[in-house]
Order: sequence, then C-alpha cells, then structure tokens
Amino acid sequence: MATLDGSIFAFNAGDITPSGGTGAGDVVWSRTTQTTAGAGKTNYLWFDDCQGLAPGVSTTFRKAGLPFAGIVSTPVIDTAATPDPVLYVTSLCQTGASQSQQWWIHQIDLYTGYDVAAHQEISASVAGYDGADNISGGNIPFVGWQQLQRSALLKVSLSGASWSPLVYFTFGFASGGEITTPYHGWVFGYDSGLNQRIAFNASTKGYTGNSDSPSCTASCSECIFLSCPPSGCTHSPYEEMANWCGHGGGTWMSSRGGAANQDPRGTTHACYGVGNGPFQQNTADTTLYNWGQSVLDFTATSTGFASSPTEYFTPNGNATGGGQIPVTPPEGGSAYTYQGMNQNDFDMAVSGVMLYTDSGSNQWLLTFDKAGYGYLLRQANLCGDTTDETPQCFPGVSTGYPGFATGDPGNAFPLAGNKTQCGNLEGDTSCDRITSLAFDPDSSPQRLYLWPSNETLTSIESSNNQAIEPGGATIGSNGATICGSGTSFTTWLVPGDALIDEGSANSGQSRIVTGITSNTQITVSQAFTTRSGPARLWEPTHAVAAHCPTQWVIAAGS
Amino acid sequence: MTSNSGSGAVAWGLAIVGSGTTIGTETLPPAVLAAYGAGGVANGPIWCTSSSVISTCPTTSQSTFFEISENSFSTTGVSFSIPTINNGYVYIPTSGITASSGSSCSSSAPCSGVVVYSGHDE
Repeated sequence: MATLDGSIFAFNAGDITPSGGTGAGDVVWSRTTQTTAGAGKTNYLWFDDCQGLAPGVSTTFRKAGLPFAGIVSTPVIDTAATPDPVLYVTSLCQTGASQSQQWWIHQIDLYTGYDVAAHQEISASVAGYDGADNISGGNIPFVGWQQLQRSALLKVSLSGASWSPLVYFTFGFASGGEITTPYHGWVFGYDSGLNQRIAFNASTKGYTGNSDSPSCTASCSECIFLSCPPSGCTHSPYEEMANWCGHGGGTWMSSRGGAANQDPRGTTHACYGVGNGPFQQNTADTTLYNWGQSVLDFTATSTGFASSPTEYFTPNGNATGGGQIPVTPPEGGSAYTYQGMNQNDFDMAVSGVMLYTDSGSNQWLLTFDKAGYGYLLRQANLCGDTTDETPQCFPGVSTGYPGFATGDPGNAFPLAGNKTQCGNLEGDTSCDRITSLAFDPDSSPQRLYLWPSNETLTSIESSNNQAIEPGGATIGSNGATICGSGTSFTTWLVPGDALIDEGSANSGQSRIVTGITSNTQITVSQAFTTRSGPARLWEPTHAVAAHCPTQWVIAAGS
Repeated sequence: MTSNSGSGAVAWGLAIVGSGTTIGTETLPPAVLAAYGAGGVANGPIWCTSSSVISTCPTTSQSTFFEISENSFSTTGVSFSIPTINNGYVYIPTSGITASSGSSCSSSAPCSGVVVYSGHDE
C-alpha cells in the first residue's frame, strides 16, 4: 500500500481470520520513518527524494493547503526480477509552497523494502516548436511542478529483449490546473537499471508559425493562462481553447494504468489514452507534434522499442450527429471531433484502456471518453489495417461520426441508445463517466463490465451499472467482421479489399465481385447476388474491414 | 474480475456515492463495494456492502463475506480507486477509519488505511 504521504507498507496477505496463520495481516516492512539523510532504508520516499528537507505545503496542486508530497499513482511489481521481485513506484518531493516539486522513480525490493537501484529524478528535454509551453532554445524541459503522475505504472516484458522489462508511466496535470498551468503530456519508459529509455512529449508544437492542420492561430496564443477568448481573438471555438497547440495532451485515465499485450508477430504494444489537448498533423509529411484526445500505442520488439507512438487512434465526427450513430452534438451543435472533445472537456480514455480477446480470437482495445462514448479498436491495428502500422488516423476523410476516421470506418459506439448525453461536464452529474472496465472471458456470452464512477454521483442507480454483450456481429472465416448475416448485411471496405462470394453457386471457388479503391460502406442484399436460393456468405477479403458498432447489446443492470 | 481456478467468475466494483461528510478540509464520500456473479449485473449483485445504496443488495449474503477488522470504520471511498482481490480477500482503500488500536484515529480525525473483507470461514 502506497500513500500520498510518501509511505509504503507491505502486509502479510495470509489468512487473517482468527484461525489464520502466524503473522497474517502484520506489516512485513514499511517506509514510514524520518531518518538521517542517506542513513535509512525505511524512510518515507520523499525523505530521500527531498534529501532530508521537510515537505512543503502545496499551493499549486488541486487540494491546496495539504502537505502534498508522496505517491499518487499505483506502483507496479516485477515478480520475475532477481534475486527478489521489485516494486517500481514514482514519488513526489515538494519542499516549498509552490513550483518546487520534483518527481522520482524508485525500484524497491519487495521482500525488504529497500531501494535496489539508486532512485532517479525524472527529467527530460525534448525538441519543441512554434512557441510551445516552456520552450527555450528549441527544447521543452520536463518541469516537475507542472505535472502530475496519476496513471498507474505499466511493466512490459519481452523474453530475450535487452531492454526488457520497460516500465512505462505518464504525466498529465490535475483538474483545473490544466487551463492555468503550462503543462504537457509526457510518457516515460525506464529499464530495470532505472535508466531512462523513453521520454515522449505529446504537445510540442505551439501557435507561433504553426501551419499544421487543423490550424492554430497566433493571435489566440495569449489565451493560454488567461480568460478565454482574449480580446481580438475571433476564431473558431476550439482554436480559442487554452488547451490548444503546444499545451496539454496529458494522461490521467481515472488513475488507471496503460495496458500492454504481445501480438502474433512478437511485437509488444503499450497503449495509453491522452486527454484534453491539441491534435494536429503536418500537412506536408503527416508528422504529428500534438497528440491530444487519442489512444497511443508504443511498440517494442526483441531488437528495440519505439520512443514515440507507432500508431494511434483519434476520434473525428461531424457537427450534426445523427445517422448511423445516435449522437447528440454535445454543445450547441459543436462538432463531436477531437476539437469539440477538447472544447468540452471530453477527455479521451477516462475509463483507462482495456485489452481483451473475444471468443472469436479477436484482440480488442476498449476505452471510453468522458462524454460516455466507447471506442472499440483492434489491438495492434488501431486504424484498421493489420498490414501497415503507418499512422493513418488523421481525419482528412471523415465519414462524419465519432470514432470514424480514415482507414477505420467504424470504431465508436454509444454507451446506450437511451442514455442521457453528457453536456458540458463541469458540474454535470447526470451523465456516465466510465472509470472502470473489466471483461469476463468465461461467461456465455462473454461479458464486459463498465463501472461509471462519479465523484458527485448521488446514488448508484440501475442504469449506472451496465454489461454489454457483443451480439449481432459475426466473424467470417478470414477474420472479417460482418454486420448482419446471410444475404443482407452492411460492412465497410477499405482500399485493397475485395468482396468475395464464397457461395456454393461457384462450386466453392471464390469470386471477386468488386475491387475497392476508397473507403466504402456497402450493403449486400439478395438483389446484389446473381442467384436465388440459400443464403451465401459474402465476405470482405480484408480481415479488419468492418466493425459493427450499432450491433452491441447493452443490458441494464438492476 | 476474479474466479476460482477459472470458474465462478465475479465482477467487483467499488463506487463513490453521495456527497459525503466534510471533516476539516476534506470531504469523505461514502462508498459501496459490490460483487456480481455469472449472470452479470442484470441479475443484481450477489453481495454488497450497503443495501441502502443498492436496493437489490442481498442482505442474507452478508455472512458469506465478512469484514476483517477490529476497528471501526465507515466505507469511505477514495476517488477512482478499485478493489484488490486475492485468495478470498478483498482489500479496499479508505480514509474513514475512526478507531484503530494503537492509533489516534477518531470520528473527528479519521485515518486512512485498508479495509479487508474475507470470504473465508472464520
């Protein structure tokens, strides 16, 4: 158990009933003492981090006035470490009232509580552009007092890899502070020697001279840290948001950690959600410098690891909603896009990200934004193409609904058709914020559990406990997801796909009906076929052409 | 999610409910711990800590899980926390321990700690 005052306790988790074993429930070791600097191995973590100085009282974090110095996130344990399993934990040292915080990472022997490797102060400096927050001399430093390490740590291991294990953790900032504080989203990776391997910044391009798309506007740059919009700033609402361009892009995920898995090719994927912040793409070379409101995938193989996302997914809807996905525009007709999400504080992935494999051996990533929309993505294929991991989610060709982006025409589904759509979330307690996810692979049907948790929830009502059960969608023999069945179904095809008739009318020989050159939604009906008779199986050749967002059955709890 | 060697899956949830009580500078919101069985949430919880919060909480099942504590506490939640379950025990964080042997915890100055529920026979 790790605490905000910098303590760690290890308890004997044996049978603690009165008839249980000796020592069960006892504290095995703790880090709770104040000792002379450098002499103790059982001291508070902040005592080492602050080198014996007394902790300060925060005026910058959310709960100002508290002696906020300690452990905010959930640590991670490496049970395979030798000679003893170890605990990785980040810790905060705060020696003054404000702007005097440093973050550290510790590696602690799980059996003794002692530090194994020397603790390391978390620091970084990465290239920045166009006046991004804190930029100086072309670089953006990591500034501890502006950051909050809230999401749980994630350990990723790969047998035979020299880098293994890597411990990933992320930074964002506290609610409220994200508007008034010049922070960035950071993703770090440390190895078992506490050597920094990854330092990624999710918002490195500011307003000044920024020509990426969608646009930033230099005259609105003063909006940051001030009330918005400033005088003379008359651009679109999203451009006037304080979180836009070179600012934000932090991860909090309701304190959940990232999630990792290994794909059949042996690549590991560490996935995180990034909340409020800018999303832009360079129009010339498609490079990203601002990654807000996205799901990010950091990959690693036996020969190395990526220091920036290999792939990502970013929702992009339209202004009107309606149509295939029952979307109500969240704010006065504003678009349900990453811009609109940022404008309305609809952080991506507040639920955390969950990876699971369904009964059809499909590997999914599920996450929800703060407005209650879920996004069902293919693992290792967030943009819909298993053969090309090149980022392709930039919404240059939007189909007009949240979660629909180029190359991936169907990833989003609403929490429920009859749920109250979240409005502006500040003070809105009526909408669902899914902050916990679980999956039961053994139930029939397999079942997902979504737990809405709201700090100001007044009661747990039946509609606040949901199980969603995949239904309707079928998986074809080549792995394609087919919406519908028999001679009538709707599916999406992407370039390179072909629709194949595998029916018996062709004596078992596949027949290409049509080639696909652009993202295309098709509905195959009896009239499309050339014969009557029993239903035949029509499948897109591509394994990941379609999702069936409207065919999920959501069962209300009691 | 928990199971017993792959069977008997149980989904556990810990939720903050209500506006809570303000003590000093802190507001301590109440929480409810609930468990759902193989039938999913549609069948209601098989066990939970507060029938006043979840109306379908089966009061007769309280004996199947009992609190391991000689201390007094209210089920006070910690924002965004989740239960930890292992070997028949459920561990939840709380900031509402009002009495604990060897400590100065009180109702006016509650302590933080861990509350353990057990499904083992006493």
